[in-house]
Amino acid sequence: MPKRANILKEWGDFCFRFACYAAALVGPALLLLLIALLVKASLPSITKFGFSFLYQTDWNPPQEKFGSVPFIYGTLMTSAIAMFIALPLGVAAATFLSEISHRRWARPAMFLIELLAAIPSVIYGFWGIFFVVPLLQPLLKAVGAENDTGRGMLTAGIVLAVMIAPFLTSVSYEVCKAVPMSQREGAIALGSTRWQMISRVVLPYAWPGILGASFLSLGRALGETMAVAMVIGNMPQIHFTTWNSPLGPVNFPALDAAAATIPSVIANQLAGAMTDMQRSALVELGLALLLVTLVVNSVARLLIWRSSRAEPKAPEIFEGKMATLERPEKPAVRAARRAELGGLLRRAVARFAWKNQLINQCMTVLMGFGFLLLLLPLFNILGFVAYRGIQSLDWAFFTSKPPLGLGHAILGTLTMVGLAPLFGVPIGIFSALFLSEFRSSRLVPLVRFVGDILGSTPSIIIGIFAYTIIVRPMQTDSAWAGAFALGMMMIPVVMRSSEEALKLVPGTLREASYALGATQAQTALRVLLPAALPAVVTGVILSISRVAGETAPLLFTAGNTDFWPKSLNEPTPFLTYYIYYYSSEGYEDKEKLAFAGALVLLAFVMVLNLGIRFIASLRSAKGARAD
Amino acid sequence: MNWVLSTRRVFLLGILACAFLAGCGGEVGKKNAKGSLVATRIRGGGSSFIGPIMELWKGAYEGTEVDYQVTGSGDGVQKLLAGERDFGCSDAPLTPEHIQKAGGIDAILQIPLAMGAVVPIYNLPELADPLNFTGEVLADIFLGKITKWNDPAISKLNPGANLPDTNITVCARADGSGTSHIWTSYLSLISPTWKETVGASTQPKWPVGQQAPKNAGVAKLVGDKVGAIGYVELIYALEKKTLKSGKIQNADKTAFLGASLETTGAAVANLKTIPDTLVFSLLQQPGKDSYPVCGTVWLVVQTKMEKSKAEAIKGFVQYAIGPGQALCAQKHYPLLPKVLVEKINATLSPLGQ
Repeated sequence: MPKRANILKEWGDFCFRFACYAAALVGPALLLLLIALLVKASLPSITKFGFSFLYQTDWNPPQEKFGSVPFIYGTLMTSAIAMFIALPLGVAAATFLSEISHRRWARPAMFLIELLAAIPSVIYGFWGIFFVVPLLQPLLKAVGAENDTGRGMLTAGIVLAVMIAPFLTSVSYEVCKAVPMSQREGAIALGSTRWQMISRVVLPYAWPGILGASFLSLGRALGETMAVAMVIGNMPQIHFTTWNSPLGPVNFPALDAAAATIPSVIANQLAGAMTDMQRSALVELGLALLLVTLVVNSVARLLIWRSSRAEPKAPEIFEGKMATLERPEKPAVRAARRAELGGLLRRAVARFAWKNQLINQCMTVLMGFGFLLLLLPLFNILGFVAYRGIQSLDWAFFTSKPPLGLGHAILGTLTMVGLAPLFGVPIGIFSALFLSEFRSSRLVPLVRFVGDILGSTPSIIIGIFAYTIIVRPMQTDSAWAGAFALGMMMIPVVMRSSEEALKLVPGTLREASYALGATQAQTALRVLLPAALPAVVTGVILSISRVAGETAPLLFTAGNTDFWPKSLNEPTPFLTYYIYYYSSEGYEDKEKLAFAGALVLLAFVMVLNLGIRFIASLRSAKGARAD
Repeated sequence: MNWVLSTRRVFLLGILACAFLAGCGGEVGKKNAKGSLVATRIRGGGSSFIGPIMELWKGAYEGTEVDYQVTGSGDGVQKLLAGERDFGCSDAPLTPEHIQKAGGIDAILQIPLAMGAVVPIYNLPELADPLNFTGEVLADIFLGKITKWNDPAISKLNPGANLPDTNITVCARADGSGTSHIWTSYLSLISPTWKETVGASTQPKWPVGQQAPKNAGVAKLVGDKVGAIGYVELIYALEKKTLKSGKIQNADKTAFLGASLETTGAAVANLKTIPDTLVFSLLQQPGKDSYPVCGTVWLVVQTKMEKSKAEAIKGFVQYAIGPGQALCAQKHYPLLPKVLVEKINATLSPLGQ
């Protein structure tokens, strides 16, 4: 009996090891293939235009002139505007919730913010068109903007900011929560105000995590297609405006100008490219975008690495002080020293107390304001979609195809969203287990880096990839291709969140498990994974709700059809397609369907969030009882 | 011990699930290959110019399910050439590169299926009467040379109109579009500057303004901004009640014409001799009542294809140019002239041979 058990144990361990390594290598393999295919497809353009592609500003398909500068400009500018708005807002809201607000409020508030993070980008685009554009038009006109149509980089940046801020907030919140209580207690004990505690202890401690979240969000902003394409004006140009400063006229980029981003131009032009050269140039643009995300990620990693090295600074100083205090001294000297130090502190506190208190109050209000500002769009979007959606929702919507309903598209979306996790979730979780259980492996940095890159790979590029390796050989759009693209997008999200979750599992659990004679597989699957499950599940929900609302990758892979899907090998309808196009056509009956579709999609995503969260809370309660 | 068994079970379940899914795929694949078990459904897409009448046709036609996706002419042609669709629709004739890619002029058929007008639409709520334009003025507007609505060039054509001092926002198509092709071809025909700097194309480099995909997208762009101007197929202009359609000077320079069934019909009536390729232009047709910016939508199809699909497409084309014509007036498309219908019927034979 013991022998058999041993064999089984070894066999289990082997399987586990194999599964982890295999899953971990799927990401790098996919990325390699993706880059290889993109390079292959863009080779004609690369050989013809060479480096001029990167500095030419002219994009003229009929004359076969292709320069990428206007699109790179548009992409970077919109993302910069978005980050400029989202980063302070997100950090303010996160610290407000984790440090200031009462626990009782923080949890539901975080839940709301996570709902905001789950809203599909196409609905943000909707909101942009129907709400932000009309709002900005008179404002821009009032300040005398050159382009007062309300469509341009500024609008795109705002929509993007609202889109990425919730994600930034929720990660920052988790990171702030993970700051050890002792750090806060130490700061408070030394007489800091709450704001001093936040700015000097919590934020520096949490900074690497916040930076990581920022760059993930930046990746999302850089690669966002639909929400941007709907509001940016799609004009490939670099427009400057002149400001007559006292020192003479200054040219600076016009933020209000219409522009185009790399993903938006791919979405607009790739499907209907005039020539093979244009198609090739568009794919090269995609390649350039991938490189930009790669650079952004490398910079991010460098920053995180540096700040994580700089991070122990605070405790070091602390320890240094302790060391001086503990140096063997004559008791009298020690007492005098202590008195002196105490006096200094008291005086310092007395001198700056009112100022610090004022700053503290101001910052508290500001952070609370940031939090409210973040929640505002949520209610706005929910109210807007619910109001117009409910009016047009009826039974026929679920049971028939156009022009009466979108039942076929609901079925198609469910099919693909159901298929995708079968591919994405196991690979994601086993990759995470690989990262946490085989830390000494040389592959770890590679897998993590590739995960980061895949995570920030624009969905539209994944769409091109899935199109090339599945649609092209099958000669038809299909649910398989769509599900593959979606599954590929899930991997990095699941992997990253699972890894973070596994990291937070106390080391003592692992040690205890090994001490009881458990194998690696047993420890990982029976102890660590269950302990990390709630957070893992949150990651899976995030990924599912993210892909459920995807439009860009499905445009190239699932195709669309106005009929009920008959098999997985045929063009498959999906909800976001109808939401996007029916909303922009200005026909009342189609708009009705679009709004009903948006409501159904939103409800689906919300129910998903609520339901799986409920299960996760049950599970964690059970786990707590087991302890 | 217990958990090992349960993991095993999970593994087994996983393998079974994979097998099941693979089975689903395989099973369905076989059905497809035979082609008989799946009811004939022809997949097409492309031009949004023809979208409204196509929607009526596919609803009324009982022969087969016609799946038409409005994705823009450029996409329609590309997907057809890649073999991903059974037919494509384009309001720009195929380029030599396309024909070469398809395998020569005999490998492909271009069948005129609908005709219509491209109309300048603008958003100036305070003006009641339609504005008059000439091709030159339109070219200058789309070139960005005329930037205000009260520009002398416009007011000269519209003596009575109280033109506002509003900026002009030019709205155009962002995607590969046959409507853009018709529009830019017309501007090229009229304005030498346009021909030199921009030219006729499905995806020209627009000098100024904003862009959106599809006819309806342009209509929405124009509708969202006072002072905007764009161009769309006639039915899209008529369905947007808040927008106004401009009149354009006819080829004879005798009158300013608004697009309508009558004026497009007058332009189409000029079609007397039709080339065997069925490719022709309807721009600047002579005649007092001929609307100058008319175009054709071609259904493009590869001659080599499965017999059942070819029959289905043939059936649909015969329906569209026959009984389907009765629905055209509803969406303001002119009837195809008799000569053309006869010619199309004569050219359908190589399909599926």
